[in-house]
Amino acid sequence: MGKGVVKLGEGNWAVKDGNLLAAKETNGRFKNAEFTVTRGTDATYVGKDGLIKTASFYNILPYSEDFSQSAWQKSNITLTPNSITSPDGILNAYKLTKPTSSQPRLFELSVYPTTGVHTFTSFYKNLDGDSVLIRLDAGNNTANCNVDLTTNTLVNSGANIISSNITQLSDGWIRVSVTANILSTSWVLDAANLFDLSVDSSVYIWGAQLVEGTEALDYQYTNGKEGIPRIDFTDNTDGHLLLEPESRNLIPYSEDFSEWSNVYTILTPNQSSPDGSNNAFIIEDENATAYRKVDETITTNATPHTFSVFIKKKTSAVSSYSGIQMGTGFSYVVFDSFNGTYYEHDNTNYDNVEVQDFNSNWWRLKLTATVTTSTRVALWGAISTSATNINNGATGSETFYGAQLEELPYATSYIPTSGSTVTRDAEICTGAGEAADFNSEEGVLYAEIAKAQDDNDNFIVMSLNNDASNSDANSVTIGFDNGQDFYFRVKSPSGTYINATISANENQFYKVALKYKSGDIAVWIDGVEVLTSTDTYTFAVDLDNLSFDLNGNGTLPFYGKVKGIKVYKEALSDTDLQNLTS
Amino acid sequence: MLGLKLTLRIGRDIIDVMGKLLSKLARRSTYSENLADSRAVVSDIDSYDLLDKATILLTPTATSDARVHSVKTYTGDELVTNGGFDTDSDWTKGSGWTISGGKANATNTSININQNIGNQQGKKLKVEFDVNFISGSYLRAEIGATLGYNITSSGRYSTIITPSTTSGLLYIYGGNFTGSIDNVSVVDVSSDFDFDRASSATRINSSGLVQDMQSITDPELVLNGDFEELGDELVTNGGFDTDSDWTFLDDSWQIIDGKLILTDTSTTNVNQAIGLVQNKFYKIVFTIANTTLGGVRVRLGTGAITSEFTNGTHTIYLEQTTTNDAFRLYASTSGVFNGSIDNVSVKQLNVDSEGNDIWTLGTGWSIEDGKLVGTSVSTQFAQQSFTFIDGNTYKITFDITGADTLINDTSFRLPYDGTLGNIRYLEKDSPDGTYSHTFVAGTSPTLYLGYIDNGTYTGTIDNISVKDVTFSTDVDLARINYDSNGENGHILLEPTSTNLVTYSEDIDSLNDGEGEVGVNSTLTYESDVVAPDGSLGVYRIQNPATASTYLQVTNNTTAAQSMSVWVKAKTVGTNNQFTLYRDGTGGSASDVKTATGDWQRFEYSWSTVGSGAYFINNDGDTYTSDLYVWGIQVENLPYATSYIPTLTGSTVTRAAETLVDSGNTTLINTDQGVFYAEIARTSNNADFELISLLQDSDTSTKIAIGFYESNNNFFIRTYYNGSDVYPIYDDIAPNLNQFYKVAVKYNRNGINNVWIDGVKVVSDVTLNVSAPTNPLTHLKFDWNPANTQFPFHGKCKALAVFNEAIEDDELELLTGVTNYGSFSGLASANGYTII
Repeated sequence: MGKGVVKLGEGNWAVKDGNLLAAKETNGRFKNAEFTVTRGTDATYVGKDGLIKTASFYNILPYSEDFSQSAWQKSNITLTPNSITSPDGILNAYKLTKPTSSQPRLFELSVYPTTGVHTFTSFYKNLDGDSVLIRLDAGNNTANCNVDLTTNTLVNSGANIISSNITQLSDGWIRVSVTANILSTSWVLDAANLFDLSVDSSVYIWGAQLVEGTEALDYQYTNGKEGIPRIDFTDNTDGHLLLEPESRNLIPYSEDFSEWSNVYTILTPNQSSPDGSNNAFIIEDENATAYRKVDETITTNATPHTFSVFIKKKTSAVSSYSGIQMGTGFSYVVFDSFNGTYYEHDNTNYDNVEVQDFNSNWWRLKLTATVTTSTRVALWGAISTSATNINNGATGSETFYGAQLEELPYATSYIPTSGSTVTRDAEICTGAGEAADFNSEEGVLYAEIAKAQDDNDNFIVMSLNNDASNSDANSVTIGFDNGQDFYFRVKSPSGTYINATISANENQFYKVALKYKSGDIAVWIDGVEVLTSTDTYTFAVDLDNLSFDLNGNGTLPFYGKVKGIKVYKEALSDTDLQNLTS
Repeated sequence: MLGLKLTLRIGRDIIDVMGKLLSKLARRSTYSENLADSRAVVSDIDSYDLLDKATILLTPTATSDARVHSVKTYTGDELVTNGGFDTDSDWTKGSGWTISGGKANATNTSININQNIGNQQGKKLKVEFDVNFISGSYLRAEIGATLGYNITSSGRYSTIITPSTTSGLLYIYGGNFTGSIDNVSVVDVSSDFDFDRASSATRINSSGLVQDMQSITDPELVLNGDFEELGDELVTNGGFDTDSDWTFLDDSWQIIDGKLILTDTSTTNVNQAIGLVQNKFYKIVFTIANTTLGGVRVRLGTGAITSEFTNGTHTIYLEQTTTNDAFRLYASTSGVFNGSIDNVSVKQLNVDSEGNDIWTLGTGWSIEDGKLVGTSVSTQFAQQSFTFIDGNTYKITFDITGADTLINDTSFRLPYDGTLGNIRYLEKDSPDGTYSHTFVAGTSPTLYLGYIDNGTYTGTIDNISVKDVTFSTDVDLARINYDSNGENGHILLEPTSTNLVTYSEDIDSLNDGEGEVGVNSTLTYESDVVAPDGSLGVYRIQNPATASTYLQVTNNTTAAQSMSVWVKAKTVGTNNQFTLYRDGTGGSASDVKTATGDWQRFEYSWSTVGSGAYFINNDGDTYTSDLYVWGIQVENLPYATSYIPTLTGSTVTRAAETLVDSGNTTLINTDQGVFYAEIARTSNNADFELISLLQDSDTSTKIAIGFYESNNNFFIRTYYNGSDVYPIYDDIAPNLNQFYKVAVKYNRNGINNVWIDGVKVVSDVTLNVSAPTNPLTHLKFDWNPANTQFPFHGKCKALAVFNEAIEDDELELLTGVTNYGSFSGLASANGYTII
């Protein structure tokens, strides 16, 4: 028993490289119960401002704290990890020691692909070394900053250095920032050069960061850049966790339509786009006697594919309608960019056509069908004057952005491409909490979730399980099955309750709660108790892990949207469950 | 209900809660400090919604003589009604007592005035009231058949009474007492601890400085030590607010618009007879403004006239050398002053409230510019009346310049009591700075200063301080100790130990006594270097890379096990390495130590107990050392304890500390509760070190938190009716000086477990046993209700008793190292970006 509730989301979101913060709240106090997140690639999401963002890192350095990684080169220097408490209050700062009279360096080689104005920052603390030299172009000696750790003063040298700054922190730590204009295309960053130290003298270091531009920016933790969780604000202000499977945009130029095959359209680039920059195109048909289009033909598998593209909203009723098509055997979709309506003309209708009201300025049109091994995608600036037919007399223009063809029966988040196909890795989100956070005898697993398709290809679930066993043998599971239904299960060696008979719609959020207590199992959805069971069971091991899968081991991962999760340590009353899910 | 309930804190104001607690604490304690940290601890517990459940809560913040006060006592409420006698009510007045004028007045009575405060049997009650004692044989308080002490003079009556019966009558009575009482207060202080240490001791204070506990209460004994003591204002109408009080010899000087101005060229003065006394010194302040020509000169009586002053506020010191008592202002020598004078002040220096000289100055001594000035002074004292107590130890510190004018090293006597054996000298050419002299006084009635045995002295003396540093049992204060950075306050408890070094700071004297400076070493005194105790002046030892370079700190016969010393590098990064070395059988050296630009205390202990000599040697990469050294300590303990100053050539012993006897059956629930402590081990001592909840007499039920004797691990035990609830927990060896949060949940009819730093280290054990015959009554920093057994020697930042078995999640919070008051706080602390 206990008062603590493990919580995720519901407007409280915090992310960093490889982690999503959940918290155990007890009597108004918050304790870390973070998830581990891996993805391995950048990915996009919709920010609070409604614009497409990239979940990426401004800290160019791949490992900001773990200097033992091979990305950090070492020369004549001794590193001692976990030597003292760093500015984040954790015993994780490194001690750097000069072991011999040779010049000791801790440096980063992999930064040379990026040139121009950069700002390096890192945290330092003196032991007995008294100074440290920072060099942004170490090989050419064009941007040096010597830090006197006894007086906390800086001395710059080199032609390309722009500025340096020092910020005093508590407990003797300082944060030093050095800004320089990097001209060399093969440059090396010295985070700590200890040439001026006496032998056996040492300094401490923590939290290195390199960013483009002149601003130091808040320190951003990186740990191999495994992936920043995506909190998406599409259609809601509190945001939701977006978890998606791997997908590839098969279109090599998703934004630059001048690279597509152009059948006499007039292309006007540099239009404002859904990502806030000017990289959309106007596709214009000015000929009243012919069809004008851009298209791309893509080699595909004969499987369900989805083509999606952003179309700018018109601000008044239209007299000409744009056209979109995926696969020459399928319909021309005549699109009304003022009303957001469409008409499928001629050929085979798609399995699914969806118009998403993306934001105040843009629609996102999505076409899904099983294609052949060669799939043409095409965009017409004007294909119709009637909205119920097509005719070559239509003239006019439409603004397009972000074309995406992916081998999935639904559209996922936008994957930008610029010359080749791009794959976004699948996300795995596991491992929150510990035994003290959960109750293996009774409790409630609650979530507000949505799935991306009506008829799932596979189960998408989340569970309370036992971490060490890597098994679902003792687990509490909620989610959606591999069809159209919810999925609820309490599984133990002594008895298992399963239900997957209640259907759920795609892209609709549901508040679901599974109360687990031997002899007292209940499921609530949106304020209604939909299932009860007096099945008895006893878990053989403790529930100590909350993960977005079946067993804490990546099986049947949850792909969809999550507004919030709560795990209670007691079987709540019906009133509480009704309030919780309403 | 109700996991769903969010953590709204309704109807409570944390500031009020803290303020109420600390206000009550202030009423019960004499000294308080570390309030911010204590407030943080209490706030944390309150934020966990656990403060109401704590019956005893100790943080390092409030002490009194022989007492350490719990922040939270059972209620802390005042038990007396109408203790201020605002109305003639609530009290039962015996014959001879009346209530009037806001007091209870007694006339030659031996009968009591009383009030029923309810059954308080077994509780510790602090009883206080003000007494105006006119006559009689005594006055005292009594509650529940327990008597307080007799008071026979006016003052604040203050005592602890533990009623032995259920009678709740508070009696105040005397023997033929005539006088009055007021402000009667009785507060339950059962959660407070009794403290004892029969010696002084040092601590690191909140400024990060070494501080003798005695100095907290030691008053400054010297008068006018800064030579700034002033008499009354002697000038009338110095602001020239009215055209009066000043004497004008002609019409040239006039008071116009609140200023004194010269309207014509004149060599006459404007003056005021202010009672100047010949041979006395005066401080004169005045303001001149708007000068366009000429200036102002000043004269006392008919003495010398100063040079000219122009714009500005001027402070000058003059001696009255004549018998004329007038203060005079002149224009320039040519009689010109185009400007104005205002705010004239003249005050006598070195004078007490009765007009007597504080310092008596021999020939050659004077007081000028807020300093004692010697001008070619020889066999003459500056002295003042002073009552030295025979046998007490006094420490005198002072600033001095001019040692270069001395003729030799045995000419300038340091301040002393006039006892021949206490004469010590300031060495010739000692740098300007702060010096001190500590000695055991005789019965002298005079403090002597500045006698020159040979030659003369010209220089200044200032900031003289004289303190009686003899340990006094009158004020026995527990130590609220801090880390070297002045943070992390905690109660420090240590065993007895003796510093075997006879001069721990005065290394020159040590060199002359039981220590020795190697013949090739150089020992010098640098008066401008701040010592770890904040005073000025430390010794510097230079050991070149050659033989016979060391500082030996004891004779060759002392048995010891550890050594410690404060060291700071003369030059950061250079010649800053050394070793601590033990000579004799099984001699050994420490690893190479590296001094920095900050004072650090270096420690070395050895396993072989035996006699030997102990050294600070040069070592390291250059085999040359140049170090400041202070506070040398050698102890016969296998670890270094807090610094024990030795200033008079003798070893000094710090007595063991005990902290005991908090609690009673009301505060400690025998059936269930939580016993919590945040503690650190300071040594790998070969003995148990325990804090316990105990019964009054038998030992069949105990709950203990502390450290094990055999393996330096934790020792956590719940013992009900003669049986352990779970095997004694001793699985982890705590790091030295690292604080751990330990909680024991005990429940004779429920779940028992143990938490350390947020982790349940003893899993649930369900118990169902009968109630112990004797309930838990004591909370002690040891293991025995009657004696001192296995005392806790270490650091304690918090101690609490909760009178119910709180939930696991709350124990996780209570003992957790990292939890936060908001999601954003948690996120920020863990390096997250909040979306």
